Amino acid sequence: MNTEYIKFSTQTAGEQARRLLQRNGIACTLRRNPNPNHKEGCSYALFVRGNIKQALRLIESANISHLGTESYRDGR
Amino acid sequence: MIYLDNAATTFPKPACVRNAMAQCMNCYAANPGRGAHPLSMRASEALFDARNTLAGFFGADPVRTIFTANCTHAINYALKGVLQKGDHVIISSLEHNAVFRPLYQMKTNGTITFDVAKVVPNDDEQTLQNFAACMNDRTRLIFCTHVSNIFGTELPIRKLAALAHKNGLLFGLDAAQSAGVFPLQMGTDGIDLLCVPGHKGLFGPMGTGALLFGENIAPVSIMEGGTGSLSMQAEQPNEYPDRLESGTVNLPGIVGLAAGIHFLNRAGGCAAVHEWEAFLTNTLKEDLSVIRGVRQFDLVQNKDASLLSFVIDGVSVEETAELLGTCGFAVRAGFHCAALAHTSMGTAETGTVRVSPGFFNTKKQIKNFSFSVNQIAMEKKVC
Repeated sequence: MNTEYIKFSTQTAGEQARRLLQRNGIACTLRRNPNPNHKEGCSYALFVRGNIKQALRLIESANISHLGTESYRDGR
Repeated sequence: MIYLDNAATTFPKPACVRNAMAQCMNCYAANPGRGAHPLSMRASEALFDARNTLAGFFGADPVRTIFTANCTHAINYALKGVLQKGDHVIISSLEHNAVFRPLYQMKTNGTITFDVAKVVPNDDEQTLQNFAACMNDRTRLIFCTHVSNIFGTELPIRKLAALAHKNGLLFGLDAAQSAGVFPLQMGTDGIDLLCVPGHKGLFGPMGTGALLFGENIAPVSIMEGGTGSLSMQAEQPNEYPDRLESGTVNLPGIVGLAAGIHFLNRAGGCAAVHEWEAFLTNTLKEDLSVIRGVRQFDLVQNKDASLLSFVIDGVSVEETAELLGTCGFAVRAGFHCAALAHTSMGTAETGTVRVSPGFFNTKKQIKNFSFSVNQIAMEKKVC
């Protein structure tokens, strides 16, 4: 199954976004980026259960810096 | 031992601080931001909670709230991360070496220049004029202490911030003696760079401090390394707080610092702490004022100070503190790492004995302390 997530370079930004979404009733989980690219290295991934575009709008309206979205094929 | 050296560090620490640190050490002291496992993620959340707590206490942005090892570390970041070659800085005549020495070093190596504006006790307008008179076309920053660590003198920081901003300058504050005792808000107080210790008025443990800064400033790193983010980049990450927080942070200490702030809030906030400490200090002032041979340095007849300095004529300050130690009182004697302030206020020859009551001291302890000072003065025949 493909899962889309929002990437953050810092844990602080990811945690800010997670709490913002949860305050707005959007369920989500912050994890380390499961598939970091070789340019970025370690980063964070916010897995959103629901409308990721709405989540992105909220995050951007709060001026929380992010690295865009990415799809992840969850093999579990 | 009756502890009256709270300006150096508050002691004892509240039980909630010790418990929070022990819980962290026992249950989740993994490396925050350095792993995907549940303990690291829990540590990361605790770090974020603490950052939010600290930022909220001072009205700052958590992203621009940087944990440091102490207030001196934060001041070094504020000065060396912001100032550029050719900049000019104005500081006060009451600065601690935490401000004076980094600037002296930067001046010596040709990076910046700075001037010292004389603080005139009881005359804010003259103090402001002295700061204004130091300005030149290279001036970029006014940086000063909020409260003198020797005399308890409070500087007119809101007026100084307004003076700085009116002239297009930044305003930075060393809140070593005031954070947790005087209410401070970055926005309303006009503070661009705020440096705080964790282990004094905020009741946290040693090894903690913070630099908080406004959106109009982008300090560069003065130390680079691992941040747990963008690890494949050679360059230090641009995003705060990671840009300024290289290396593993002191998580148990930071958790303790957050617990200290929660304690402070539950105890009634800065106002309650300040009121009690000022009451104890004023009680002490009255008692010492009737002991012959004791000279106090109450420069502004300040009823709000939460520390005081004195000497006993004919007895060195070090001997005075040692004798008080044998009587069961912990006070600090000497020059208190503030050469500039002693030179400015005429105490550079003798130094002072500093007494700084804290939230946990009692009036009875202060009375007993005054009695011991009287005994020492009498035994040394200075009466």
